[in-house]
Amino acid sequence: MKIKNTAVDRAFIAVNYTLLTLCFLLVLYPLYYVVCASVSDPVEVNLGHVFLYPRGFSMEGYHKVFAYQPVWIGYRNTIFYTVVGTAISLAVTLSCAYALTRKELLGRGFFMMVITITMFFGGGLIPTYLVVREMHMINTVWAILLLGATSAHNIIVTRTFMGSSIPGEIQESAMIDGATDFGIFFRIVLPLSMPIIAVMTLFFGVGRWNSYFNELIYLNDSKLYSLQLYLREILVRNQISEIMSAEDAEAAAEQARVAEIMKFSLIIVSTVPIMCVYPFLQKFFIKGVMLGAVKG
Amino acid sequence: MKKLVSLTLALLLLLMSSALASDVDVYTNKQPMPIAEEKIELTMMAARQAMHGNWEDMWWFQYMEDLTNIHWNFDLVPSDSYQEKKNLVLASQDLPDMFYGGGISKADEVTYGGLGIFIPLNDYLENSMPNFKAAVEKWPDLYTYAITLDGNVYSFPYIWRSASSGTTKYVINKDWLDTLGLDMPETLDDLYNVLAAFRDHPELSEKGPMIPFSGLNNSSIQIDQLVLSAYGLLGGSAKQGFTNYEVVDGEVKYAATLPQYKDALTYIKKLYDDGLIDSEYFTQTSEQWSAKGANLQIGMYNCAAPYVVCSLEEAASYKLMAPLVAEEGQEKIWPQTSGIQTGRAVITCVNSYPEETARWIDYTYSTEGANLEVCGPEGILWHWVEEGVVWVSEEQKFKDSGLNSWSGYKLAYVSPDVSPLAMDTSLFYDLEDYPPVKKAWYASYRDQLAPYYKSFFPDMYYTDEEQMEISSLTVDIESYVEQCKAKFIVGEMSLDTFETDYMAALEKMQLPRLLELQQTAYDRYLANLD
Amino acid sequence: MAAQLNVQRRKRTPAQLGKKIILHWQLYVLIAPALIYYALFHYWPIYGLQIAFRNFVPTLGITGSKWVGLMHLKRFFNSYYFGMLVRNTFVINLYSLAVGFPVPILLALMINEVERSGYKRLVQTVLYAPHFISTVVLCGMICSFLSPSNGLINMIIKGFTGREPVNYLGNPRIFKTIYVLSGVWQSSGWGAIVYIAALAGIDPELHEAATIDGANRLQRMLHINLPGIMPTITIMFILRMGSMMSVGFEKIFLLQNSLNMEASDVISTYVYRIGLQNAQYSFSAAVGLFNSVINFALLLVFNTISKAVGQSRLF
Repeated sequence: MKIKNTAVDRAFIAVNYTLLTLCFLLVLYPLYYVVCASVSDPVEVNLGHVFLYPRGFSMEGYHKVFAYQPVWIGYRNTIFYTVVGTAISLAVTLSCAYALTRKELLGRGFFMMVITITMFFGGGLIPTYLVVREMHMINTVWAILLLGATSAHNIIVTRTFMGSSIPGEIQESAMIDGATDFGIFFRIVLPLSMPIIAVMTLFFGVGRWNSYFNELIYLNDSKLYSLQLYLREILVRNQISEIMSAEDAEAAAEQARVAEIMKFSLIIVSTVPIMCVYPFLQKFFIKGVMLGAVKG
Repeated sequence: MKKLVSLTLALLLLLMSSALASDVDVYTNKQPMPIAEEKIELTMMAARQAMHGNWEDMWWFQYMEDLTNIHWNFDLVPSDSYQEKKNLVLASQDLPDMFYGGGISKADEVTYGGLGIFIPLNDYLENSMPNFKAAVEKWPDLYTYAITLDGNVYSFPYIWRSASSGTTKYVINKDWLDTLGLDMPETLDDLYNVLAAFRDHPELSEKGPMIPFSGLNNSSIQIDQLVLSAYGLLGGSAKQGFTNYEVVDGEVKYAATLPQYKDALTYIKKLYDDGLIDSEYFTQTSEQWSAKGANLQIGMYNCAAPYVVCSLEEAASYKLMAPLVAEEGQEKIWPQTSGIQTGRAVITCVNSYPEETARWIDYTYSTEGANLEVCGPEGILWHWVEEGVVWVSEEQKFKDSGLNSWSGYKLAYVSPDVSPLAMDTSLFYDLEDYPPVKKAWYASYRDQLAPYYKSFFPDMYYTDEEQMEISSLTVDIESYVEQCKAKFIVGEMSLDTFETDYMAALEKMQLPRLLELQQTAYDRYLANLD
Repeated sequence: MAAQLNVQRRKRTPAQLGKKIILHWQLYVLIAPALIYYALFHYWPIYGLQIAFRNFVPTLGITGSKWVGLMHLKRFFNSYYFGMLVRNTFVINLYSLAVGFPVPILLALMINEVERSGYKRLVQTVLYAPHFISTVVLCGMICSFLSPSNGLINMIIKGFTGREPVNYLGNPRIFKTIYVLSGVWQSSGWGAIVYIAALAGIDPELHEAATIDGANRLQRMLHINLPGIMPTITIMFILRMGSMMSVGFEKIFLLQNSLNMEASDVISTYVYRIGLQNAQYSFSAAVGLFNSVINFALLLVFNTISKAVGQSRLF
């Protein structure tokens, strides 16, 4: 049912649009700057000459990024880790979050505490590494896929959403009708949780896409490396110390020049894929439709 | 890839043929080859720099394998995560046979040497490494420098002592000086006048605003050492690669507390107040600085070489500055690192062929091995001449590879150049096809800086307890000194408080205790030298 | 509804407990993967917490390393700069919270009111895009825009008021503002996503009913939307309290310099400098533990407060 707007409403909408557009422009300009910088001469960028349009136009940054062979292997691996990894993360997180909303779960508070503590206290890199080694997962994809299986933060947010926006009556009546816990979860709760599932897909997906530290530590075989790992190699350069010999400095400076040229284009190349995913997920941010269908 | 393999084979063939063709007796290797009768396989762990290509494909390792009959398996780690990986490897006891190429600190040597994880090398250095012994005759402190606290040597030391390394170089735009009719500055007053002249003639900088001196206070591009040396100090600019300590009559002092340091700050402050130092000196990023340099806006700065900052043709305008003095008639001094490093290679306790490994390392202590490791196969990129080594023309060799510099090419395909070795390359860059700008550059600091080189407070070994105390005291004290230096220069803190508030704060931070610890270590170091 | 279940809970006996578990075994299956994950990768390695109290040497293992008790923490507390570090860390977080916490909520509420879906998608996508810009590039942009010689900000100010350029990054008094505002710019759009999802979870029938009762959009926003996402807001706030002692290292490190250090030096950069001197694994573990204890305590405090005022809580 479409709600009609009163005069007050129209004023409100006007103010709303104005404020939003202001924020939009404030955020847009620096992004536009990044796009301009990605096709500009790095010296011009660093001298601060790039304002409204590129200076020293050159697509060299993009050429170099795509010509860099390992980028394609990295892309393939990252897509794999992201897709499979996100699926695993969703499965683990959603089921855990749902179980935690149910009062019938004995030890619910205890489990919450156990999970929350892990956000603050941990053994650290070396003991975790030793555990992974014990399980023979070093240098395998499992180290990457399983180590990011879930996060306490995301479990908590999901649980809050499920607990507050899925009415208890629906679950109650389903139980009276003889539905099992699994049934309630799969046929009622999940469809109604589409918004938060979309959010978690985004959170886990982006997290996996951008991750590099676990790959750095647990993978030795460069055929398994992710995109971010390769990109970091280009961007992390050696400090040029003026005390170096001239040849060393020359080599380092050359490498730095390449990195400068690629710096902005790399951001665009590695984030555009993820940004394309979001419009698809936005569809799920409309829950009202679902609720009506389920109620019926 | 195929191109690389054929290139490698071509290089190998050329090497063998040129070995016969050379008429200079610099094939000095005394280590009998091959080292192993039957092929030995060993593992090494090393840090891979961003510029390195694939080590397995590099010429150097293939050459060595053919020569010595030892095959190395590589466990390469990206250099920025090397420390973490090293700790993990040590914790999980999956040790390689050798840690190679650096990343082992002096503290590591003391700790792990003491625990037996790194084996003592004294025996091998004495008995199995004739090249090393020959190098020690030439440079005695090569051996003594690497002796840790318990009398053992745990890592293979490295020395490259030449006029061309181990120090920072200041350059000034000679074209501008000539246009203004000024001479190269000799004293601090000269420098002030020259920089002021630059400031008053902004038209000299054609592409952007004129900046007499620019740098990055957060990094090694600072004006400090130039002024400190003029006042007779070798210490006070650890950020530039030197030290913060000054030895005065055998006593270890902190350079930032000495009166000459205050004089230096007063001078720098004057430059800053009169607009001769970039207003962004304290806050800009290195990219912003290098853009200004590439745009030829800066009158004076320090660098490894001017053609690293701008193009080769433009670099001809920038000439090396000799050390300055505060007053005429003073002795000129300039700090140079000892050129010796430790921690380039250690042998672990799991290595079943420690002697063979030591012999493998020994090759690079000969002139022949060192030059091959650093420069690649002979006859391709360089060849022997009577005085030493010369670069063959570099420009056309690398255009195909997409790299612009000899070094970049070398690090990608030829050799990672991280081995322990002993080399003296003062005579490296003479003659023939070497680009004139580069030749002039090397000649200039052989002539203008080298005569004044002095060594400064050394890098030493400490016990674990000493190390811990020194670390925490140093962090606080260095922070404070850095902040105050900036504030003194900018005028937020008055230099009148130098002797009062400033010194009092350093006392509170236990500077005397830090100096005490360093003095103990220094006395111990001197005793070792005898 | 809930009353029935509550009554049952109060009269538990072991037999009934057992029955309850068996009755709802499926719930335990649902929670099992997460629990196994935590047991394996978080609790199995948790003996590593001791590193903070030992002189850890990797080859000796954790139990083989010498026990030193609170020595590392004492060294940290005794640092000349200890007070300043803690104060900077705390103030930066408080400032971030005060400015940065409400903004995503407001954005979400505003976006939710937009009816044209094309514009809505465009705004959302642009607003969250900054999240993907790496810290290194962000700091490069900040340095560029704030540069006194040719930065955008100075040029705009000079154009409007004729004032001389100011070196913002050299001024300790402005540092925290720069840090916080750039953080708000970078993360508000992304942070709004959770609230947008939560808003989608509000029953549209409530809005219909309110309109029939004569409420306008603003009133509906304040009385339906805002309370509707209050559980999410509360939980996000509590979680945020659990990171008050943590300030990310990289961004501070890149924006820090000798002139603004007294406002910009935080615990993480201090630990980094100690590590540079001599890779001190145990020291950073000790400081990390100290931070975690305080963070956790804050979380518990705010959780209790939230429980007391009847809002959502963690446990």
